[in-house]
Amino acid sequence: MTRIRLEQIRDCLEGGVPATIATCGEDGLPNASLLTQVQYVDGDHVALTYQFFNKTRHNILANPYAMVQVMDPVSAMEFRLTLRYLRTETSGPLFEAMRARLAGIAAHAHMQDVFVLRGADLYRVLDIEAVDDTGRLPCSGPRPSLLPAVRRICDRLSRCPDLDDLIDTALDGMTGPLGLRHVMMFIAGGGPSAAAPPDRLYALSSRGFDTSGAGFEVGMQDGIVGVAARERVPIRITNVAAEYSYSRAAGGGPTVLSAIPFPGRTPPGSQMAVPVQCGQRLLGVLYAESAEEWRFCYDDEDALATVAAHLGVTMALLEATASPADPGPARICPHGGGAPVTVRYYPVDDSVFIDGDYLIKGIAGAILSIILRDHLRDGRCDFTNRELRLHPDLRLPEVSDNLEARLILLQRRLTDRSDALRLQKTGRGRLRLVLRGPVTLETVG
Amino acid sequence: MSDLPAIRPPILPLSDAVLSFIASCGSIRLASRTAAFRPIAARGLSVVVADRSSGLLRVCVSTPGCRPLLEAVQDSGTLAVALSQPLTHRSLQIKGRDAVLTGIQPEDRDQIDRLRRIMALDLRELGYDTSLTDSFWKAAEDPLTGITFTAAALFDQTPGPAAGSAIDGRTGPSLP
Repeated sequence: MTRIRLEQIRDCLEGGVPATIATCGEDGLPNASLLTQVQYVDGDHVALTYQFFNKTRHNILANPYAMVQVMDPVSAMEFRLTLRYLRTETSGPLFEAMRARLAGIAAHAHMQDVFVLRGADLYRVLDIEAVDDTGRLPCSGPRPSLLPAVRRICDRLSRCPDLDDLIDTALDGMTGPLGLRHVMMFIAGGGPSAAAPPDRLYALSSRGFDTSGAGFEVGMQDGIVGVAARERVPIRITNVAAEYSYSRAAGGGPTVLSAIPFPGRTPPGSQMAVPVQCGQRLLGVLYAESAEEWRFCYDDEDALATVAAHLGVTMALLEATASPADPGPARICPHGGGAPVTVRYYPVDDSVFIDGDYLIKGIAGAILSIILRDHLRDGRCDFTNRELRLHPDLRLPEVSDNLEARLILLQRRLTDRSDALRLQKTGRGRLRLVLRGPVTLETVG
Repeated sequence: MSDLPAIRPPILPLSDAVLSFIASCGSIRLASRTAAFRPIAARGLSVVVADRSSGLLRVCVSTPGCRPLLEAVQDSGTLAVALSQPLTHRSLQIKGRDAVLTGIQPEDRDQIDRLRRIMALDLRELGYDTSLTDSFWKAAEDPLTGITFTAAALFDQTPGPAAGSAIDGRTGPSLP
C-alpha cells in the first residue's frame, strides 16, 4: 500500500474539525482528549499545543507515544497519525506561529480566556493510516497547483530593473496569479535613525485597500507582521484574531507607531504574513488578509513564502548592483504657478507637515527637507539617489541603507496626501521635484 | 465477541445529570491501548446505558473504521470515552478497565439517529456545511460493534485549568 504523506492531508490540520488525541499513562489507562490544533511542521513532524498540565501532558511525559485522529473538513475522511513526542518549545518561530493560530481558533470558539499556549510539543510522525469505513464522500480532489503561478511571479521578479518595479510586480503577482485580494508590502527599518538596526516595519505599498497605507508603521512586537519579522517565520491565522490585527475596529489590537492608519476597516477573517529575507538579513514582510475565515491554507503559505524568498534575493541583488547615477546638469525648475505651499520640518524626529497636514517622519522626512532646502537655495529640481546617499545630513549607513525604499515611501505618501508636491522618477537613480506653487520651508526647533 | 466479564469493578453511581449529559453528546472520542501500551484513538457513534444498576455503558462504533481500537480493547480491556457538546464545550471523560466487545441493540441505533439530528443542528449553528455531517454519519452504517464496560472513573474535561479533575458521578462537567 502506498504510504500516506503528511503533505497530502494538510487540510485535516487546519483546525476546522477538532482532532482526537489518545495517550496512555504508566498505569496502563488510556486517555482521550480533543485537540484544538495540530500544526504541520515538515513532512515528518507535527506540533501539538500544550495549554494545561492535564492528563494528556502527564501521560506523554511518561510514555511518549500518542495517536491523533484528524478529519478532512470537507469530505469527513479521517486519518490516524501515530506519533512519538520529541520535545517542547516555549519560544521561537514554531511557538509564535502556533500561538498566533491558536489566538484565531480561540476567538472563533469564544474561548480567548481559556486557550493560552504554554508550549509547542513537537512529535515525529511514525505512521499515517486512513480510517477505513464505509460510504464517506470522496475527498474533493486536489486543488489546482499554485506552482505555475509562483513560477510566473518569480520569473517576472527576476526581470525587474529597480526596487519600485520589484515591489509593484510582487504585489501584482499576489493579487493576480496567487488570487489574494488585500495585500501589502512592509519594509524593515531602523526608525528615526538610519544607522539603527531594524526595529520596526513600515508599509510601502498595497493592493485592494481603500488607501495605500504607505507609511503605516508597526514595531517588531506588534501584530502579525511584527511577529513574523521578529521570529523570521510565516504566520497564518485562519480566524479573526483581534490581538494580531491592525484594523482600527479590532479593539485591543497591537500598538502601532505612526499617525498613518492601517487601511483595513474591519478585523480580517484570515491573515498571513511572511518575512522577506536575504540570508539572515530581514528586508521586509509580505502581508495578505481576507474577510473570509479559513481563506488561506498551507499551500497559500508555501506559495507566498516561495515568492518572498525570491523577492528577498532579488532585492539584495538590485541593491548590490545599483549603478550610481552621476548628477546631470543643474536644471532650474519653475513651479506650476499654483497656490503657495508651506512645508514645516521638525528635526527632532524628522517629521514633515504640508500646509498643516502630517506627511511623514524619519529618514523619508529628512530626505524631503534636504531636497526642498537645495531647491530653495539654488532652484534645482533634479536629484540623484547617489547624492542623497552621500549627503552628510542624512547619515545613512554605508551598507544596506534602504534609501530606495525610503524614496518610494516618500513618493507614495506625497501621492496619497498632497497635490502640492510630487517626486517623479526620471530614470534609474534619478528623481525630480515637481511643485504646484511657490514653496516655503519652515524648520521648527 | 465475548460475553460480559465475570469480575467487575466497584459500581460508580451515575446521576441523572451525568446520564442526561452523556445522552446529549454527539462528539464521542475514544482511546484504548495495546498490550505494549501504545495508545489507539477512534470515534464513537453513540453511548447508551446498558445496565444502570451495574453502571454498565455501551459504546457503538463502526467496525471497519475502528479495527485498531477494537483489537486494543480485546488486548487490554481498557477504554476511555471523551464526550463533549460542541456548542457549550462542556466535556466529560469516562474510563473503564473491563471493556469487552459485544453486539449492538436497537437502542444503539435509536441513539445514533438522535445524535445525528442533534449534531446536524449544532454543527449548522457553528457554521459547518451539512455535507460534512452527512458524510461523517455515513460511518454509522453497518457493520457496527458494541463495546460494553463499567464506568470506573469520571473526569471533568471542559477546557480550562480544571480539565482532568475527577468527579464523583453525581454532577456533570463544568462550564468553561
